[in-house]
Amino acid sequence: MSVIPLRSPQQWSDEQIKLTATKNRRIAINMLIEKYRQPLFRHALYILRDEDEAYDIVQETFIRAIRETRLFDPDFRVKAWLFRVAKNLCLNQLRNTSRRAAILQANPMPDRQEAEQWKHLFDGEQSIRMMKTLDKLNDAHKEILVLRYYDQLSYTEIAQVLDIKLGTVMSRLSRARQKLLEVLPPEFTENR
Amino acid sequence: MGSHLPFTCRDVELCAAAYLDAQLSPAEEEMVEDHLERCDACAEMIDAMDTQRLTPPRLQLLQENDYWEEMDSVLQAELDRAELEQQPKVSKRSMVFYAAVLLLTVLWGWHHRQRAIHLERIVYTQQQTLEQLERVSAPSLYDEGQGENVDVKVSYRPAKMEL
Repeated sequence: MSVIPLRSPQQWSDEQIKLTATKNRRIAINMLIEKYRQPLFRHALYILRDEDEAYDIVQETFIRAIRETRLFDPDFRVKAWLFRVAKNLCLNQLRNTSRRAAILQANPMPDRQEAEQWKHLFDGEQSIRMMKTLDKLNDAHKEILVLRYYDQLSYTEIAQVLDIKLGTVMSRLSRARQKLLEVLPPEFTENR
Repeated sequence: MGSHLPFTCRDVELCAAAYLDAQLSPAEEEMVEDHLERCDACAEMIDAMDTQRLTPPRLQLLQENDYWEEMDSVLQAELDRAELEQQPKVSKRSMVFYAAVLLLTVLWGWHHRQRAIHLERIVYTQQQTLEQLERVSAPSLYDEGQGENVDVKVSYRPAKMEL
């Protein structure tokens, strides 16, 4: 059942999947899983920087999707819903991790050790440096930059994921990029 | 942002990203450009923002198919569970069984009702016959017992019948 005889899951439109759901919900859910597991995994990885945690977040997101009865309703925004659930789970995870760290009174991980740990996640020193740069921003700015430029969601989708107005998406994104101007190393700028 | 007044620096600051991502309406875009022509500070900021390279970092992790195997088995089990929950709790077999029991009960009730009606009729006709007999035999009784005033009571009580 998990093997769906189509080439690229990324090319299936949500409408196509919803149409499938009217005939067979199980196949439709499997299509959703195939289509969104990598984008959701990437998102969780950008936010959490931990492969196992990201994997668990994706799994939990899909379990919630399976239990969601409105999932294939005509006006239900599946993509935004999936990203919202994943985003909230990531935030909870971050909170739990920081609380655990506080309880253990662990020292913050030295930069070099952290970079070493991320080496198997991100390809190249540059990617790691970019991740570190993003960490200098506040959570809201980091989140919206990841959603827009890494997950490549549209402005409307971001508004749905974060449950904010389109105007707020524009202004928050502008502020985030302005803050980024202050911290972005020159290697991440290009002359035009 | 949507006002028809010329854009201020603050307006431009708020929609800078949307301008660079080409998310503004043509009218708004024009107003931003109008402002940029007049304001060097904003033009500089937009230029600086435009040079930001925001391509997604490459992921080292290889996304082989078997990478998702474990998750797949968990999710398929969850799907099985969800499907079980959606199914009606009474299976088809027991539905047939309940229907059969109901039908038999109704038939049994109907049969006994018919039997009761039949027996009632028998009792009624017997009663009628007896009453007739009574009427036939009564005058002779009166004749014989003239003067003596003998009362001979004739009564009939239908025997209880086992239904």
